[in-house]
Amino acid sequence: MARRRGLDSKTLKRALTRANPHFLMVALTVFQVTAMLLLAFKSETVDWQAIGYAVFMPLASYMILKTFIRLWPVDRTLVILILFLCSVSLVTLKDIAKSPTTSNTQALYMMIGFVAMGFGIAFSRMRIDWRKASYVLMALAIPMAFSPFILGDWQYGALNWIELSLGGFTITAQPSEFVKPVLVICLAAQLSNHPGIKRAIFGVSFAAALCGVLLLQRDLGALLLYFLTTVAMFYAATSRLGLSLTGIGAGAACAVAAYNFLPYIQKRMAVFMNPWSDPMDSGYQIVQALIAIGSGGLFGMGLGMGLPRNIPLYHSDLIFAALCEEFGLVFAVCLLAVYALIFMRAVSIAMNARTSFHSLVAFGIAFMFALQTLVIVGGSIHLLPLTGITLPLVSAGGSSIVGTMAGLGLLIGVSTLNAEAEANDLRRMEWREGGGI
Amino acid sequence: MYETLSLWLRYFFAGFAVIFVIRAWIITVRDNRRARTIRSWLPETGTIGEWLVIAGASRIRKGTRLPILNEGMIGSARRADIRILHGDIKAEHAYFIQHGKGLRIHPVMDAPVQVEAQHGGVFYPSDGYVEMNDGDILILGEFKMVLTLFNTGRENRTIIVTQEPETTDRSSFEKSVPGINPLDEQLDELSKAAQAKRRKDTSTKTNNSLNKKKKSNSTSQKDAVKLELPWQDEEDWIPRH
Repeated sequence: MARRRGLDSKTLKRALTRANPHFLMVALTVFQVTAMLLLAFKSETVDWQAIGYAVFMPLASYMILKTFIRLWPVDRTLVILILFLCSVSLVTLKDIAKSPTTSNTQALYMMIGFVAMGFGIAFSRMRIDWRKASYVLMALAIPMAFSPFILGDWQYGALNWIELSLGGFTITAQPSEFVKPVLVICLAAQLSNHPGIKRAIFGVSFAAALCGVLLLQRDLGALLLYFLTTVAMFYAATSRLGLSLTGIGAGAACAVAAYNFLPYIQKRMAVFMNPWSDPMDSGYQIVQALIAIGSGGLFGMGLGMGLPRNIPLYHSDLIFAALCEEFGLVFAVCLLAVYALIFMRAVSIAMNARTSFHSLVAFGIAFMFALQTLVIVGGSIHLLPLTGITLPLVSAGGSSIVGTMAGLGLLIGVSTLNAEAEANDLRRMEWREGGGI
Repeated sequence: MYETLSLWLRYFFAGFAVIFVIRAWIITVRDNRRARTIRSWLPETGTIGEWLVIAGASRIRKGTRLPILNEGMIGSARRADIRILHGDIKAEHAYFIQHGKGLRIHPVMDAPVQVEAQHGGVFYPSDGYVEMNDGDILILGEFKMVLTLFNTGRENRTIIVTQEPETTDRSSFEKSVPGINPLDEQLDELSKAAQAKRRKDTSTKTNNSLNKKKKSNSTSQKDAVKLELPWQDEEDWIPRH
């Protein structure tokens, strides 16, 4: 058994010193410039928009990282990994999108998303009574979840979008994406610090109410995310395996009941079981995705060389298949590894958080992020039934980007609190070793 | 031309992705190892204070010190952070959480909780909680604990020291100023260092918040020397021994 190192300030300082991610930032810049310059010469005329991106993306990435570092002691590696995903999204959308404004819109949403991330960091660092604040957030979340019934319209078989007209501009949004971080905060507030039966039931009831609303809206992807995140956070907070498994069992029973009584779910399951039975109609989406992934091989067909537009919703739900076609399986697996690294760092942040509330918030955000990735990638490769959720930070979609970044802002905010607490510990230890002088 | 370039650059993008992920993986594994080390040291390094038992139970006797992290639960249950086996203590008796410069105690249901403040007065929970500051006593039935917080950022306290007993005999000093820890050379140097630091510090907060409270035990004001201890800044703190 290894001898435990003596605990002193030098050892603690060494433990607190995080690795320097300068190389990652340089590598990211090289990728951004290379990819965009390549796309600039894709057509016969020079695409000045792509050249603009080749200049703008490294500058914006550097400015965003520097701004966050100056404001708070953020986890720099985590921010760079997020910037990498955003860069992949912009490069892919610039390449495959029909309209040249798609990438501009995505870039705009990303900037809004980083502002939302900043607010998320500041929000998670607030010293307030989170239990009382969660009641206010619940009161805001319920009407937001109900808003598609009043302001929305059915799209792709689900009522999960709202349309707002503001002075001639029409804004469409998906409220369930904004409710995700609110759900995590409310559950964390109710389940933190050894919750009693009353608080646990109250928190879980709120989540159940949201799940009921999503079921009525037929937003099955978001419903799955909300349900499993609630169960996971309940288990993390209470360690009650029996109750958690009972919850999963109840969810499975509801899924079976929904399959028996709702025809659209039966159709979706039939397509999942055998998409080749109707490859030109109901199975067209998944068949084209599988063909695209297969066509790409290990290294892809080359940036700008594939035919991703054959895939329905290639820019949002099935962007992973388009990525596989153009960049290849090696790049796609590395992209999934980046998601896994974000999850690993998030879990480490959760385990080092100093209060159970912050720990649960970090865990909830991490779990939801990883689950969303798993579900959509699984749907794209025919491992799971296809759902209407997006690949976080890569798929086109303003609501998804802003909601995900707000959630990641909460996570990064917890990491800043950890860093400050650890710095306090070091200061205290140095003072103690200095004899109090 | 573009096609050739694109076909060659696909190997570059794959290679870049692999190198990027490997480097990020190495960084993450190292950071996680460090985080695990910090976590293992947390009971020693992350303590924000301690409870000092002054009226105890069978297993937790008077004089026992119990470390406080940011939050916890007091009770007789096995999963309690401060486990007290006493007839007056329920399985889940109360929760405490750091709040500002003190602690907030949330009793569970109708569990008896009282707080005897250091400067006088007994406080009961209202609106579901009761606040505690450094030096206050938590009373749970017959069980009592004094709260000691490390980084309280307390206001400057003035201690009156009589100059008449010039002897270095500490016992005579203690007799003249009962209840106060005897001053030694280290404390003098500390006060001088603190005063030098304060001169550099441009903050006016410390000067405005000089605590002029005198100790309740009376001392002679004649020939008294005012000594200011540096307890006004969160960065300067002295653990109680």
